[in-house]
Amino acid sequence: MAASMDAALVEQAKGGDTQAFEKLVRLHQNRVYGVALRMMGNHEDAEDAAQDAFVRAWENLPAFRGDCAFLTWLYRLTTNVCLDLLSARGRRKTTSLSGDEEAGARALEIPDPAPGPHEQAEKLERAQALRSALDRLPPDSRQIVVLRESEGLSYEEIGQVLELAPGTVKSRLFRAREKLRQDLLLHSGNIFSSGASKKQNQQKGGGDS
Amino acid sequence: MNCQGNPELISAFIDGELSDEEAASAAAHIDSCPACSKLRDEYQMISQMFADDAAEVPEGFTQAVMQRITAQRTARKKDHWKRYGALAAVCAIVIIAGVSAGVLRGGSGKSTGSTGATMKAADMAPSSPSLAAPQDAGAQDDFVYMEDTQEDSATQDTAGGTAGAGADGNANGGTVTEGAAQEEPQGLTDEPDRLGGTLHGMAGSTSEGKAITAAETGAFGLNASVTSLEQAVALAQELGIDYSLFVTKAGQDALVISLDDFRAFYETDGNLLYSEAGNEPESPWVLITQTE
Repeated sequence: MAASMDAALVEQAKGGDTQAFEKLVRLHQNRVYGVALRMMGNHEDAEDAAQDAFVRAWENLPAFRGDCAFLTWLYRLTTNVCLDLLSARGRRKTTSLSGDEEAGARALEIPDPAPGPHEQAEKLERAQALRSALDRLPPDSRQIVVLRESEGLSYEEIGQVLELAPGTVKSRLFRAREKLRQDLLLHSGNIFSSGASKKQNQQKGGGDS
Repeated sequence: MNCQGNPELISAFIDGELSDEEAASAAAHIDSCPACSKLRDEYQMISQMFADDAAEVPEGFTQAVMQRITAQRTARKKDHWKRYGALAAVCAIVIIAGVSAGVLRGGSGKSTGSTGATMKAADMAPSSPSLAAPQDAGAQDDFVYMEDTQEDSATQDTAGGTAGAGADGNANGGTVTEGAAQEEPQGLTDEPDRLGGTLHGMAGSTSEGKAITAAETGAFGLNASVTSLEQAVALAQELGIDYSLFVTKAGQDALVISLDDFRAFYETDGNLLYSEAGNEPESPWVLITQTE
């Protein structure tokens, strides 16, 4: 249903209807921004990248043939924009979320049901550990992990975004996930042990969200 | 991890990407294998970390995106225009052709014999598919310095309504957004150097893509005629207009000369050229000439 709504808005936007495009932006901005934030590692770059992605979407809308869902296409644009920016940023990393306390705190402003101070602190710790680890992850690994973990895309959907076969998605995602896990173990091994018991009880047998 | 199990399967397992059969067998193994259980738990904790650290788009994001898009449309994807986007209003001259401007049209080259000022718009929109450029454009008296135009328009509520000394083309002059010609004016591409028409006033801010209103058109009190790009450029410079000239003919054709690099762009749909922001067509500009 969301896809058909997108399709209708896309058609209108193609005809130059900026209001229709604005609706598309509102519908998808959280997802696009979420991906950008994970990819870029800080809010400032994420916002730039997310804006760029939408502007690029607008520019390329005439070329969008609807071979895939609009959102899929948008994810592709977004991750590509991020990869471009990351490669431009090159090795000279300056600030990243790893050291971006303020940003870490900001992202955690999301209301949480009855968070005790202790749990709050643990969450912050884990969030920072994750961001640091993502920051160290090669961009292409980051890309596929983010599409799965942050956006919850299926292998098929990820395959559409990255134009890969589902089997390839499976192996690449595994490798990326393994890198991330190893990095966390190396740099923040206590993350797994500290929250482990509690989390496991809550998550037992559960899915991934 | 001493287990012989396939960790890739565990990854796919927690993602729910295994077939029922595979999943059942993976689950059975994982439960009985401490190493695989640990791996599963750690993968799941990573997932949980992502979930716990969800981000929300910053406030004002939508507006920022839409502003960029609007600005871009206005700039018509021309980077050299973009550079000036943030500057104050971009000055532009509208040449409204209450004038024969057979030149502009690339019309038959035939002098109509009448001065442009007295031409009817209908006369000016003959089907003139001819690409032949007028040879005698420079010598034409079609390009009348329309002193009276401004006076007329100044006294009109619907400024521009009678501008052009009776040329019907100028009935639309104040609202250049109207009265589009349907035909394809192709002549320009053949005679890039020449344009005819009357400098009729100043346009609004192109950076904002504003519609050019009659009031704005008259605001600068311009009336002049030009027969060539050089003249247009010279005039614009004399007037202290830095970079862009809008030339239109009877609200139909338009020529935009961006003076920062002396490039001229021609838009076939004059109707939409001056329309309000957001309504411009995405059709590309046709580069007619580039002098230096």
